Amino acid sequence: MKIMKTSRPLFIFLALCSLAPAAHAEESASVPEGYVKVAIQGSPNGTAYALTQFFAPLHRVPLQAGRNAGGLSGVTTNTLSDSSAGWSAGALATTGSPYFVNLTSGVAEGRSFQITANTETHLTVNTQGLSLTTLGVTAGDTYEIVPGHTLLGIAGTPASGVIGGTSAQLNASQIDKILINDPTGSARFYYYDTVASQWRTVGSAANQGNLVISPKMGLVYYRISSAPLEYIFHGKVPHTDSQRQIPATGTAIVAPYFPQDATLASLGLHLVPGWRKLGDPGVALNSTDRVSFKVSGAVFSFYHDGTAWKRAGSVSSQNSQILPTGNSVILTRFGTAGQTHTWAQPLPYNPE
Amino acid sequence: MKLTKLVLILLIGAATANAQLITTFGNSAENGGFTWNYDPVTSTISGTEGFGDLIFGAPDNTAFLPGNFSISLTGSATVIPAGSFNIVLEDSSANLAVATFQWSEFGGGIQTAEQVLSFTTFDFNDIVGWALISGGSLQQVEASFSEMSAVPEPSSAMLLAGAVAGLALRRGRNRR
Repeated sequence: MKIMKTSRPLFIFLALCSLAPAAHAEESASVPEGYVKVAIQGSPNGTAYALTQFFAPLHRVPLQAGRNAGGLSGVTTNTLSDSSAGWSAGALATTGSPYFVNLTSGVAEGRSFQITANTETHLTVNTQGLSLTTLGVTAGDTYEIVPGHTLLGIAGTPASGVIGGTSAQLNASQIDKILINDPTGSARFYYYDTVASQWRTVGSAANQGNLVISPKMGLVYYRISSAPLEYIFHGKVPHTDSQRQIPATGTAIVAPYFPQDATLASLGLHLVPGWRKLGDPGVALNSTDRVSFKVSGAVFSFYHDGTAWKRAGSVSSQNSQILPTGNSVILTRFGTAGQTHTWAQPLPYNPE
Repeated sequence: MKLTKLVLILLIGAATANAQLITTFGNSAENGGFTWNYDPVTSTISGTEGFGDLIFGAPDNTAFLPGNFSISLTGSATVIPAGSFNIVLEDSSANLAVATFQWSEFGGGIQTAEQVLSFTTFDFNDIVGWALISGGSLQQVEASFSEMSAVPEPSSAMLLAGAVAGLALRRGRNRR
């Protein structure tokens, strides 16, 4: 298997072994399972934040009753059905235990939707304004059920090393914080409030521990302690293409999705319809769409000039610039508010 | 002047006189940012420190003395984010050398700070560009910089100083 390179700083170790998934007999037995360790960098001096861009790079294994994968018997604008599914009503839409349905064949292969309600045979999903039928999802297409993450589940608590505190300490930059796109798409900071013993976001007293983190979301950890953290993710490698909508404007922290080093060119962001390139009508350097990630310890932004990926101040092509496994990227776009564009990524490896 | 005193002066002088100017900012710096602004008249960065904001330019010197260097940066910050920013040098093969500064190093008036460059492979004789790159704090920043220089690390400086001192000693013995 060729998918795992382990020499990058963020990724200390990735072990995948072809465990026979006996408890999940309807899934492909050839999809590798294993775990990934992600290192969260410590502050250089205990007073300045160290940033780590990361995402949850493996699919967790479903634990609920019923089919984990199968073929669709029906589709509406926001529901999917499998007459033989045998799910427990409501079990796939429980607060704090989110599930996603991934389409694994058909023209919408690689699309992923959070399940918001379910019966024994029907799934209602959050399409984020899209229509499943308009996307071309039809009966006969195949799917898989994948558990998502929550903020609490990924980030933990002070007991696991998070530096928490009060909102005043957050404002004074004395505690850890995590940058995530909230459900409306806005990038927001989240912190662990040690008085309320819960995750919160700036300006809200609501418990954010159950904030849903999808497999395609990225996070940026701002670590104030000089002690690094380590997160371990268990699960299976994605085994289909990926498609998703990305906003045409604003900041989006996204996961490259596949647990493999990628080049800037292979991400395919320059192929996204509407991606603003230098030289397009009305597009100057400071209004090009950009993708940002760490290289040699500095967060660089890259833009496309219509021919190649470039970095401001450098004439060299950055097409071969490596995005290490497990790093999320930050998209900054200057298109029309309210619009989204489709980012399609072919499966970059053979998981068989 | 006694020979030992001369050698001492040469050692100190050699260790301190080899800083090489990279830029004085101003109009020689271009703004590549999108959430912060750069005013070339005052050499001031202001606004929100986003991801990948930068100012950049061609260096005044394209070839530095061989060896490892630190970056010396002079400036002041009146609105200080809680985090760091990076100075990056690039050679003609697109290799990078990076030094990381804390914004807080420039609080309290004009300060000069020095940080070691980190690199794997870098050609100090063929430098094509420099950049000051934001740290992504998403906080407000206001800072101005007046000068950035490359400074030989003590080991490099002392090698040079040793060579000069050796020459001076030899010359002194020849005279006697």
